[in-house]
Amino acid sequence: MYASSAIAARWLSVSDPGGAAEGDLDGGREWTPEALDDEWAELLAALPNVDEDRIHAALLGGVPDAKRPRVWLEFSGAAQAMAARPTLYADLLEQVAASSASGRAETAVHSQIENDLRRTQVDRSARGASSRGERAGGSRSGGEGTGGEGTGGESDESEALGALRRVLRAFAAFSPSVSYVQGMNFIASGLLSQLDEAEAAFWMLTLVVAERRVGHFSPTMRGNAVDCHVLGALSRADCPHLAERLEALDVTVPLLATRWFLCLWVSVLPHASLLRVWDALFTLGPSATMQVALACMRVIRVPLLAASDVGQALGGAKESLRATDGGALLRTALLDVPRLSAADLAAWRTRGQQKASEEASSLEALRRSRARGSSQDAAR
Amino acid sequence: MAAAAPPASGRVFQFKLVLLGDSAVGKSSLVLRFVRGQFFEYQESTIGAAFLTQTVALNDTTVKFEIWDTAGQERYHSLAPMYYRGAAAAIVVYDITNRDTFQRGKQWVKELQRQGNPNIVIALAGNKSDLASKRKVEPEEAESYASDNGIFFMETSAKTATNVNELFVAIARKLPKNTPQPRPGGSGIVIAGQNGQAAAEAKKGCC
Ligand SMILES: Nc1nc2c(ncn2[C@@H]2O[C@H](COP(=O)(O)OP(=O)(O)OP(=O)(O)O)[C@@H](O)[C@H]2O)c(=O)[nH]1
Ligand SMILES: [Mg+2]
Repeated sequence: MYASSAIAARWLSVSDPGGAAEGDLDGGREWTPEALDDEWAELLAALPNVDEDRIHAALLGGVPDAKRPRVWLEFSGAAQAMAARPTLYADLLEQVAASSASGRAETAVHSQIENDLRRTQVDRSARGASSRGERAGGSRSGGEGTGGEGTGGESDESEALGALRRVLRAFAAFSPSVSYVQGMNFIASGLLSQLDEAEAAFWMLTLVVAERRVGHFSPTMRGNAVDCHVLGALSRADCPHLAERLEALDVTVPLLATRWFLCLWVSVLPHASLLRVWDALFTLGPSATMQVALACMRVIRVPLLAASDVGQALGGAKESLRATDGGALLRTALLDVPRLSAADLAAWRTRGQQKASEEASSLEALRRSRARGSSQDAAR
Repeated sequence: MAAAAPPASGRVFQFKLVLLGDSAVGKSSLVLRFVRGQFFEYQESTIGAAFLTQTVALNDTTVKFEIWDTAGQERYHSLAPMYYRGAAAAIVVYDITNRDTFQRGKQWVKELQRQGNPNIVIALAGNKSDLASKRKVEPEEAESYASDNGIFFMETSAKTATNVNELFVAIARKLPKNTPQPRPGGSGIVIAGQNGQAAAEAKKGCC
């Protein structure tokens, strides 16, 4: 019903490069809340046969809060995975309870999780925001510098911590080779802020970690290095001038983007913008993450070009992302940066993989040559 | 905060400093205490690394630290070289109430001595000295380890601020000030230049 006009609107904004770019707040068609709600209902009903352009158009309008959990779960495939293994989550929790009762080796993982439960602040910013009548601007989800006193009710907080604990422990049991890695705490916490069921958050986390962020949380974290190479290459093609500037400043892509990839922009973007980005990540294919990353490179281009040292560059980048509007960012990611097909992404990753292993082996060679020449060894 | 000072004179030296050590030993807390004079009971865990700067005024010179506060979890180990590469100084932090973190600290010292900048100044910080009743590592042991390995040692508390500024000032004093503006160099991950599919679109997005 709305599909044809949505597609038409998208074509308009694409084929008219000058027109819709700046100052136009919807980047495509005007949606009334009702129309948007209907459109998402239709898209959900049509799954899995949904035209990607139509999703893009609806994403630019936004996902209604009330529909967000279903949209994330069903578009991402988490709902289907959950339906296929309905008892898995409960089984994992039982397994976790049994092994901690017997005091087995998981304790190191558990104590790391325990350490981090209260060190994951997006939770408070997300949950506390509406009840405190504060805009979900994410001021509390900032990196270093924010922190501190708990807000909100005591029991609310311990309930939230309990859910986070269960999701992280269940994941560690589900995937012992990956186990618990910092970063997952922020992702899980962001998921829990929107999904009422911890089980649903567990399945989303599984999907994100095992399928979307392949190798990012593995023991070598090679996936992160690979994606940073891909982003570097794409960004250089997008703006060679910026790439040169970054080299001159000695600012490498991993210094900028590691947190984007490992936390999926939690406490990088304001909370409201984060949700918009996650709407896209979870409804679109794996390329969406890279397109959002490229869009972020565009957002930080101005402060990076103006910076005269590393500190200014990184500080400027951080500030500009923290002030980024989610709608504008999505528009850039979906309409402005070159579209990346799944096949393109795979090809880029193969190249990135090569670079990353070259780097790893040259580092290893350095390690060995220094170890041979060093007499420190004996000193222990 | 007390260490922050306007340039004492015209001579300003800039140094890259990296913090390494196990998760939750208090690396971010030490930096935050030093840079902003703050402490939080629940400090957000660091992902990748955080970057901050702070200056220290010595008698006739000013030392500006470019501080890389890294993530401590073992899994993040493979990312560490990109942060300590070219660092003039390192603070290896352990938690005096947790022996494992002391062992891990020793491994970091070893790695830095093998793979870091050859002239790197290394400080070993036994943090959380305010928790003396839960102490598991005696200062004598850490001190003798430090002197055997040619590094210096201090116990600190980010919580009470004990020895925090002192630690950074001591490092600032030890750093060589003969060459003005030593800039860390080296080769990290360089953005790969490729003629990709994206090139056709580049104009549209670029400045
Ligand atoms: N009592 C006491 N607690 C401290 C001290 N320094 C840090 N802490 C606490 O220890 C916890 C971990 O501190 P962080 O500074 O986040 O530790 P980190 O080394 O940066 O940890 P990662 O980012 O995970 O690598 C926080 O809850 C701090 O409040 C200290 O000197 N005394
Ligand atoms: Mg930290």
